[in-house]
Amino acid sequence: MIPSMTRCPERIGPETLAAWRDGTLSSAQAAHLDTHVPQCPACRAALDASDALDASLRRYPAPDPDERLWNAVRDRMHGAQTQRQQLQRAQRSPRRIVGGLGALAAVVLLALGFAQVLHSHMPAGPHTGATVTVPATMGPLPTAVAPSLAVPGPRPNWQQAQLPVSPLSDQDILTFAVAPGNGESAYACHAISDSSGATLTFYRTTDRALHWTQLKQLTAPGLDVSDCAIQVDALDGSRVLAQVMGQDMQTLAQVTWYELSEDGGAHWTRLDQSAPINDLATLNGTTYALRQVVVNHIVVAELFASTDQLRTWQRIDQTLAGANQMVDNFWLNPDGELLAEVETDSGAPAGAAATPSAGPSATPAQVDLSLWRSTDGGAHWSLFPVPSLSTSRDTQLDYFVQSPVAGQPWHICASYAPPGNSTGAALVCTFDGGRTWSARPLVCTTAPCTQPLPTDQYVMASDGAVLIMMPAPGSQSQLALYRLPRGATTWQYLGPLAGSNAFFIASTPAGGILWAFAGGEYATRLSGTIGGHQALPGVLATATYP
Amino acid sequence: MPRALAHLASRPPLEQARRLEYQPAANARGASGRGVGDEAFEQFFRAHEREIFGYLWRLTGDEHASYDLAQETFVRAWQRFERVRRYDRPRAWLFRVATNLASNHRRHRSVREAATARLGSDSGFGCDPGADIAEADAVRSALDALPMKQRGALVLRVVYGLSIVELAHALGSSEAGAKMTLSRARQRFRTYYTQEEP
Repeated sequence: MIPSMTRCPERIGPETLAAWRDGTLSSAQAAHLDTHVPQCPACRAALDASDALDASLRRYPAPDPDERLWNAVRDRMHGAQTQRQQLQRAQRSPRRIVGGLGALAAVVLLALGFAQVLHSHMPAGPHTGATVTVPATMGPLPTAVAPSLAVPGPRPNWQQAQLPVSPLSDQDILTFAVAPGNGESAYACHAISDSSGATLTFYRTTDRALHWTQLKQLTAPGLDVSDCAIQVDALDGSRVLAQVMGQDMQTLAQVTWYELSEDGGAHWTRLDQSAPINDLATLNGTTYALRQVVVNHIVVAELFASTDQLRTWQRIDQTLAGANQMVDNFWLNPDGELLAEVETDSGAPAGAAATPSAGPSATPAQVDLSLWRSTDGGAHWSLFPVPSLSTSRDTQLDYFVQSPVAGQPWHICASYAPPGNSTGAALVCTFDGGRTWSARPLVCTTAPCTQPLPTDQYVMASDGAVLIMMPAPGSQSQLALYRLPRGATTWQYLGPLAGSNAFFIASTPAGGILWAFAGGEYATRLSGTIGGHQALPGVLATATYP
Repeated sequence: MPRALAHLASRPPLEQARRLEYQPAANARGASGRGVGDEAFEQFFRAHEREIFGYLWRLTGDEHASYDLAQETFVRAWQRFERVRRYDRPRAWLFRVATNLASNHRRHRSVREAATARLGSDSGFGCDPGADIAEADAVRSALDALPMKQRGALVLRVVYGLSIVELAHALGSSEAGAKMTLSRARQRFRTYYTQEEP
C-alpha cells in the first residue's frame, strides 16, 4: 500500500526525490535536498511512497529457469559450430592469402626492431575474392613517440546558443543535427507525449542556433514517442532524415517511421521503412546508408545504395561481408570514393594468441577492423593500407576519419588501446591516403607525464589536427578540449567545455565550427540529444575553430 | 565525431557508438571454438542465467518468451564470448542484449494471465495469496504500460541495483539518456500502479 502524500512547501516532486535517491541530481541540487528532505515531512512521505513502490516491484516474483535453457543454448552452440566449420572450409583460400601477408609483415616488423608489434591486424578477408583486391605491400610503419603534456593553446570563443524549446522538462525529447561541411546550419526535432499522443516539431537554424525557425509540426495520436533521431546527409546539407520511434499506447507495439526532407526542411515526406537508415551520404543522385537487417535471426549492418529518394535500396557490400564480418562504418568523399570499415570477428579459440612465426595458419586476433575503398560505388573494393600495430590480442583498434574534402586523400588516424592501462597505447595517422603513417603522441593533462591517457575518442578537424575531450587539468568532473595540430609534437589545452559533456566539429574549408552541449550523442552523424532531465539542463554553445 | 562523458570512464564496446539502432551483439558472426572456451562459457552462463531469465520475465511476463529471449541472449554472448568476457561490465552487456531483444519481441499470450499463473510456484510475497496476486497484478499492469526501454530501466535500477553508469551501458544510451529514461519510467510506473493498486 502506498502512503498518501502531503504537499512540499517547495513543491519538490517525486521525480526529483527519486533522482536524489538515485544520485542523479547535480551536486548543487543534491546538496539542497540533503538539507531540505530531513526537515520536510511531505518529502519524507513521498520518499516512503517511492520506497514502497520499489518494494512492490522487487517483490514481483520471477521464476528460475530450468535446464531447458542451457540445453537450448548448448544445442545452438553445437549447430553454429558445425555451420562455422563449413563456412571456414568455403573461405579457406582468401583467408590463407591474407594470413600470409600478415605473417610477412610481422617478419618485416621484427626486422625493424619495433618492439610493440606482436601480431597482425590484417583482416580475415572477404568471403569471396572475385571483386576485392588485396595490396601486395603494407604501408611503412611508424616509430613510437613520447607522450606530450598539454600546453596552453588558443581558446575558442564560445557563444551561448539558443534551444528551439526552452526550458526543457524531463518529458521533452530534443535532438539536433549539424549540417556537415557548413557548421552554421542545424536541424532539431522536439517531441513530447501525453496521454493523448505525441507532438513532433522540426526546426532549423542557419546562424549557429542563435535563432530557430519552425519547419513542420505533426501529431501522432496514441503514440508515446521515445526518440526522434535526426541526421543530416554527410555531403548534402539540405537532405534531412528523422527517425521517429515510439510505442502505441493501446497495443504497446513498437512504432517506427521516417520523415525525410530534401529541400532543407521546407517539405517533408513520410517514409515507412522497416530497416533503420543510418549515416546518409549522397552524391550525384545516389544515397548510401548503413542499414540494419535481420539475417538468420541475427541483426547485422549492411551497406546499401538508393537512387530513388530512399525508397528502394540495393546492397553494395556483398564482397566485404561474410559470416563473420560486416561493414560497421563508412565514409563517402566528394570525389565519389567510398571508404568502408569492416569488422571481422575471427573467432579464435580461447588462449590461442597469435604469434608472428605461426605463418599463414596463425590464429588472428578475435576482432579486427580493416578499411576498404571503392571508386565505383561498391562494385570493386581494395584494401586500404594500414599499419599492423598491436600490443596484445585484446587491444582495440579504432579509426577516425576526417570529413572528406574534394581532391584530397583520406586523412585517417588509428587508435590502439590495450585494455586496462596505457601501456602499448598508440595513435598513428596518415595524410596521404595510407601510403605513410606517422606515430602521434598521446596526451597527458597533468604533469608529470608518466601516464598518458589512452582513448578511443579522437576527432579529426579539417586542418588535420586531432581533437579530444578529456578532464580539465586537476579536475575529474570538468571536461575540456585538447588539440594536437597536424605536424606538431605537443598537445594544446583549449580550455574547458563549460556545462557540456559532448562536442562536435563541423569541418569547413575555413576550419570548422565547434558545437558543445549537455546531453547524449550519436557518434557518426554530428547529432545528439540535449538535456531532457532536470539534473542536466539544456546547454548548447558554438565557437569558431581556433 | 562527438563523444560523451560516459565514454571517458571506461571503454565501451565498439558497437556502442551507435545508439538505439544497433544491438551490441548484432553482428553475431564467428564463434568461440570448442574446448576451453566452452567450459568458461558454461560458467559464465551459470553465473548469469537466473538474473537474465528473471529480467526477461519481468519485462515480458511470458515464460515461453523469456526462455526464447534468454536463449538468444546467451547464444549471442557465446558467439563473441572472447570479447564479452573481457568487458568491464559483461552483466550490463547481457542486460542490454536482453532489453533489445525484448523490445523486438511480439508477445503471444496475455502477460496478465502469465503473471498470475506463476505466482503459485515461486512467490516472494507474504502469506496472503489474495493480496499477493492483486499486488503482482498491479505491478504487471503498470510495467506493461511502460515502453520497453523504460520498463528495462526501472527493473534494472530497482530490482537489479544497476548504477547509472551501468544502466547507461545496459540501455545503450548516454548517462543523461539513462537518467531521463529512468525518471520517465518512475513517473509512469507510479501513475499506472496507483491506478491498479490493490
